[in-house]
Amino acid sequence: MSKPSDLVQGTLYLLILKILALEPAHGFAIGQRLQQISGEILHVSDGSLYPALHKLEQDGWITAEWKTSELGRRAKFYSLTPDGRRYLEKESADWERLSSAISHIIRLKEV
Amino acid sequence: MRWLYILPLRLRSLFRRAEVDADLEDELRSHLDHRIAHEIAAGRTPAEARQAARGALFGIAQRKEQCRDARRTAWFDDTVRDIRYALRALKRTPGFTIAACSALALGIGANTAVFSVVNAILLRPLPFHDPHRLVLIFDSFQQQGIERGPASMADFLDWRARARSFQSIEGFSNGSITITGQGDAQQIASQRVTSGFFDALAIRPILGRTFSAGDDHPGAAPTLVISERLWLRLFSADPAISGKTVAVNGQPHTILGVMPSSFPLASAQTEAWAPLTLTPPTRRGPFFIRGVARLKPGVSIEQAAAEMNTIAALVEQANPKDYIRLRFPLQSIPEAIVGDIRQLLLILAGAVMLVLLIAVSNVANLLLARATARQREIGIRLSIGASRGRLIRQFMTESLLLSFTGGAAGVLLAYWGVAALRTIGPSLPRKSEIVVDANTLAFTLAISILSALLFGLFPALAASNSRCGENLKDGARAGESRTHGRLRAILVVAQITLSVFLLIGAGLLIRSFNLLGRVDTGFHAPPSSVLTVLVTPIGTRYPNRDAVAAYWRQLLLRIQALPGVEAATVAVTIPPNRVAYTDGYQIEGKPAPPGTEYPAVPCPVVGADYLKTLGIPLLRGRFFDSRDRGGERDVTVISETMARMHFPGENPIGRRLKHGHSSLNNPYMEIIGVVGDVKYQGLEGETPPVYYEYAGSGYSSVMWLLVRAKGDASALLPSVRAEIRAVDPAIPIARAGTMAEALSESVALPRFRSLLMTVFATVALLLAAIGIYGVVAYSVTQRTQEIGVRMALGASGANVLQLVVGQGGRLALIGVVLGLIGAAAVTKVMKKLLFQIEPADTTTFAAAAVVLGTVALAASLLPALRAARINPVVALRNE
Repeated sequence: MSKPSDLVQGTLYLLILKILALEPAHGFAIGQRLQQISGEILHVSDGSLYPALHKLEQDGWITAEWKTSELGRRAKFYSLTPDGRRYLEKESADWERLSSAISHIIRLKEV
Repeated sequence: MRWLYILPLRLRSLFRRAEVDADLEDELRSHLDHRIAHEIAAGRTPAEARQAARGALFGIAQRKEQCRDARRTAWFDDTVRDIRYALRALKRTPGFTIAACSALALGIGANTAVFSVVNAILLRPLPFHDPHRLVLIFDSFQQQGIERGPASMADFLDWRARARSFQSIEGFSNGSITITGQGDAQQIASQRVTSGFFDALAIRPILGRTFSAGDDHPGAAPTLVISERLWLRLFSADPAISGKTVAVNGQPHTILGVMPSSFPLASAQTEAWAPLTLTPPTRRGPFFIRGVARLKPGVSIEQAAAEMNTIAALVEQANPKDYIRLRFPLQSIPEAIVGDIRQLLLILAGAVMLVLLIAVSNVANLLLARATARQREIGIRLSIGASRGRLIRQFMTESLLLSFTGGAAGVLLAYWGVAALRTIGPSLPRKSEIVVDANTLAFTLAISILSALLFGLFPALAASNSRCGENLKDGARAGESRTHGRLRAILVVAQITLSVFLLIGAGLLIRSFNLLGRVDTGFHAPPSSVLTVLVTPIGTRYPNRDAVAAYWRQLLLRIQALPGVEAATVAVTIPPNRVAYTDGYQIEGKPAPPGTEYPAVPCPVVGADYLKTLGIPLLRGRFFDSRDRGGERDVTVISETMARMHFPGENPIGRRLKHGHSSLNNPYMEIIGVVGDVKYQGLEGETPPVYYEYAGSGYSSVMWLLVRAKGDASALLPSVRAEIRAVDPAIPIARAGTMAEALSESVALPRFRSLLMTVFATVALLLAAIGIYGVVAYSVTQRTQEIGVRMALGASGANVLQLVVGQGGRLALIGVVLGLIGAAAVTKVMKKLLFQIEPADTTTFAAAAVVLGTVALAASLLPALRAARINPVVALRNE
């Protein structure tokens, strides 16, 4: 899994929401954190994050605000809206059900 | 909840687009900065870091576009773009745009205007609580041809005593009162109503109160309720009016309150209400009360009608001398108010719908031609990647623009139309409520969109269907595909068919109206030379018949002495339709067949100079003169029709007849003369048998003063007025006008409907002509080459003319034949509106066919002449 296009679109949204649930962050930081948390397995190219972020924002799940970053530069910080938090919970639950089902199928012994 | 976040974002994306884009730039730049800082921190040189950062953001332009898509405002941007494009396209072809918009404006405007009338009269609820539960109750005397007549006090009290279907039964009766002591004496249209009348209708006063129980009992203190208009007019909107007294017919009355100016059970002129006193009756007459009642919950109008018929049978049984086949019919209030006008309105609504359909098919036709002309453009757009949906959307945007522009112009037309209708139109129920309101505008919007779908969708589908490659082929002529051509021909045929419908409809009404104008009124005085004024000597100065008679004699002497007056007389009933009352009659020695009665007929009471004033011929015997004055109604004069009906081949002079029902003991009157028939029941009405009585032996308090002038009667009005005032300034006069005006007013509704239909038919004809012209002219352009070849091979100009005109003629012929067949099936609905002609009137049908045929030929002749002048050399070289 090296290219974002390989990521299921919905998965990218889920990951972004999860990261923002921990704390508000700007686009670059979200990219970095994605990489760190997933142990460098997931690499999301710099540009591909933004369409996803904007879509989530336009859907009202996250909201944005210009602030000063840890490097002392202006950056657009994203955070979850209350609805976004509920949406994340629901999506996480769905994902767990789906992934456990898939794992279960994969573990079936071939006859 | 999340809408709180989404809405500001959407609005910002729409209206602060530059700001949002700058924001996106800033965000990406900030990302770049952070990336560079990150790389430097990882140990790279600034130059390397910058290169790496730029590499990482590869494809940034695409990303930006994706970010913009996330804003979901593309539909809006596309729409704006479509509208701009459509405006440019429409501006490029002003002829087409103006033609289409005008056609739509006429169609939509006519529909909007008619809808505002339909809305006011048929759709908008009446100002009563639950009007469908309210019914009117009548007396019906089939023997005398009275379907829904007023009832007697005895009948009314019987209804109240026996009927169980109603919450309450109230009564009302129209009349007039004279108010004195407030400036000039005023005669005012009024109603007498029982004390619960307003409560039954659930109409509240705007000031004070209405009658309370007991106000209608004999001996109750006299009270009065006035209308808002009278309150403004006579009492300067005095807020403390309740409790004041006013002289009514010379007697002081206490004013209780003020009612809204008009509600549909009171005529527009009604300005005051007095209690209808429930005097215990001594006999079953006179008949003057109309009942109004609210059905009890759960009782249907049919059940109530059945009960009332049972009651009628009981009443008849108890009073066998007074009644034969008595019925107490019910009529729901909405039905009573709207009545006959419903059918006319529905026919008009149908007619304007046809006009709109013609306009729509005309525009569809124009659009098809336009789509053909734009095939190259469509081809280019398809080949550079426009989807079919996108193209259809573009075409529909153009259609909607046309439709909305046409609709907006149509609303203006409707405003003018409605204003004109309200000022010069005939009297219609609820006329004051006719306005272009929000409902009307919603209707206009709906039919505009519907029209755009109808005329736009098919051409859009057809146009976008062309394969791109073919239209771009070098030398491909902008050829009209065969299906387009056939479709356009079908549309033209449809237009002609619908036009035939409208032409025949208009033709039938025009012919009816003309026949109505040619009806013999029966009087030969020029209508403009006869002045009519309603004069009412009522009040304390006229306590008895002698005083009233003295007043009339004095007034007549003075009027007859005026210069310019040829003759003057009085009458209670005058032509063409002002019948004061009707009555049955008995002829001595010629009783009606057993168990039946002769019908009630007009029985005018007239003065001695009546024949001279109106120019009515005396056919036999003599008319009333001073010899008859002393007698107590002992002579009568009958009309020609009555003489023919009852005295065929006999001399009626010297025979006797008497008033009323056979059971009544009225005195016989001797017939002294026979006069020509006069129209008393409207020009459209039958000519019933009539018998006259002499006013000299019984003047009435409400009579028409008739003055025949040597020249134009309206010039006499000021001096006539002055004479009336000179005799007694307290006497009110009303409805002053000439007989010509009365005649014109009596046919106002037929004139109005034939005028409207003519306007609609003219518009339809015009549109159909444009349609035919368009199709034929277009095909001439298409066939220039072919015609050139024909002429080169020896065809003459006349041959070409025949060829082209034949094309238009064929379409017209099909359309006319279909139209005639269809109209023959449809015009039956107009039967009630027609006068002296049948719905399938051959003259009208033939005239419609000829008119349309002529117009079709003329419309195809223009392009045909152009075709005949084609120079074959030029036509062939062009290829």
